[in-house]
Amino acid sequence: MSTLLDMQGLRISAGSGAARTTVVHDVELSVDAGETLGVVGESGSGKSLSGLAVLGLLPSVARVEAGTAMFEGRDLFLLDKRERRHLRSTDIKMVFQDPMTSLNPVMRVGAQLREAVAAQGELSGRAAAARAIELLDQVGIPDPAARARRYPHEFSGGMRQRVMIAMAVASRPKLLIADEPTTALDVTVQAQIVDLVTELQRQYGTAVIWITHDLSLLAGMADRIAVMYAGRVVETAPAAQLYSAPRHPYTGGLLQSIPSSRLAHGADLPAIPGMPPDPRHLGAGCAFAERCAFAVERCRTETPPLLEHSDAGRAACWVLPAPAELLAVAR
Amino acid sequence: MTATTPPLLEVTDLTTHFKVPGGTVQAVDGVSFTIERGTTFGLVGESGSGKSTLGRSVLQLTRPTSGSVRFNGEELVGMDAGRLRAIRRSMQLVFQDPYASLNPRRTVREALEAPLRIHRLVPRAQREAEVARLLDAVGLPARFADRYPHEFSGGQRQRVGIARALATRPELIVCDEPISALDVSIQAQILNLMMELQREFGISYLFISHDLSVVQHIADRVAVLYLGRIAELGTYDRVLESPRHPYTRALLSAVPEPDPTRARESATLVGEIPSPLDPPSGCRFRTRCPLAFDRCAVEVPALRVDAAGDAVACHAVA
Repeated sequence: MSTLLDMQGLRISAGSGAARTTVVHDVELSVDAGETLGVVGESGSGKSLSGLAVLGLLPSVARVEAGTAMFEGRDLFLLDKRERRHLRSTDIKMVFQDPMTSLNPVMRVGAQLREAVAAQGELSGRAAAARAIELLDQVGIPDPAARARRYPHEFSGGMRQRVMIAMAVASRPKLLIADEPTTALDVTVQAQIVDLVTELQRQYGTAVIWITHDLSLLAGMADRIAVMYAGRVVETAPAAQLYSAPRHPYTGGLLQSIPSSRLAHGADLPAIPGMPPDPRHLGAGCAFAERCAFAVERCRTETPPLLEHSDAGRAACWVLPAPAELLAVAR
Repeated sequence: MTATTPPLLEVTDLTTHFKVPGGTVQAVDGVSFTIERGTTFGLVGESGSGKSTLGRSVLQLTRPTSGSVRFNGEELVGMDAGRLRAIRRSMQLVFQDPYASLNPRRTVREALEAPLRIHRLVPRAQREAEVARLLDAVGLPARFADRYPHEFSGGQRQRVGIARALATRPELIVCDEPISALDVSIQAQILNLMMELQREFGISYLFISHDLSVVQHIADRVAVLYLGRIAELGTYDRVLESPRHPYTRALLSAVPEPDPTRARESATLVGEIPSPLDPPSGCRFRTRCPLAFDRCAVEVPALRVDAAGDAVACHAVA
């Protein structure tokens, strides 16, 4: 597989004036053609900012300070506005947690889709309208011809997300960035959306970056996973390896704190103590050190780099406990 | 406790309908269950299943249309406002977003003292000590008493919300999605706190959640709600480990597991929950049910209780 997107050394700052601080530090994310990369983290981990940066969609308070994002031989961070807008309507698409942020509330769904189809330049008029209905059908919207004449607010949350996905795949994108697209949905509808994206991915060969707070969700769908904490990638590995043999204490802590049948019913959950740090006020050393049961002196003074520990896995940890130690309670 | 002591909460045939332009929302429709002292009753279902309305109807924050809610044997439905206010002391509510229940202009001390004052629980001279005791019970330092809600993280705010619920020494706390707004690494801390408070004070929980793994871990008994009716009810292991109702099965199969070797089957449940304004005839689940047959459209399946006290409402499964 060839690398489709290779993002290196991403640094993002946010805030204004003297309060401007670095909130994403030296992040690298890469995804191969057709692959699914899961990016998991809590609020403030920088996962969404990293995804938005790819498309030049950062909120006005944030900006890319350093880094490269190579996509088919071009650095996305060097594109001008017009090139970037073109890319967003063709090769790289994004879907968000709340589809209403991207759908036009006063425009019929069919017309919006027709516009997205026409933007590809291949179809227009009646052919574009027919393709729009075909797309609605393909994403599982019942009675697509009638639904095309409706407005976004007449759709349920799950149906709206399907419309967003139809808009996204209208251009047969090479990369789809999905930022918590199922977080607001019921678990049954979430399962349907995951299946839909997986199916479209198979059909169009689209690579997916799926950003979420839910490590369980990624288990069934991601090829590789990057775990983010306080603005950094702290661990990355093929999915199977990450769940069975994590090396970063934060990954291990997350896996252990998920209630599951491994634990006795009603027993205390092995929770991670403390709380995620404010990304604007980070001290020296590893940002996870104060919550980490394995921390040593060096962790509090020196930030660990993301280093390879096996063929495909990397972790940012000076201690690098064995998987058995990290999952002691779970096994 | 003797055999004649009534259960802490006994809900019988509870129905809550709302008149809206265009019809009647049948949010809760003939629901019955009981909660024993010191136990956790989990209520699960999709959004639109009526689980929040059911929680509010139990507390009489939403007045039920019909049915009975007995708390310590005393009927709450139709009770006069004065007596209800007194009894509410023993039944508290914890929200998903503690912001919704905390006044942003009041310090934690003011928030915690208000119920003590209103219900005349603690003499003025002892209130300061009581506030410190409540904060300690939820794992917060006493110095936090003079801070405002916005100064706290989400997890700390939920601890304050729980402390406020504890202030009146309730026997029952209705928790509506108490951890869903919290960061993943904080959720386990709050669950541990709730379990600890139950062991310490013997509190019962009506725990409303969409998260089946959480409910499976902390609930003693579980009810699965679909469009305002109970589909399945019983002990946590019976309902969530060997489910019988096709809806419970579908719901469980949709839950992702943190283990790539135990891949989820493809989504078994098609479509979305129908509108409670116009629920399907007969069994309300039949429009999405893989087992549905003729009878399901014409006859409402009764919730049949077996010898073990577990119950299922389905024509297709025995």
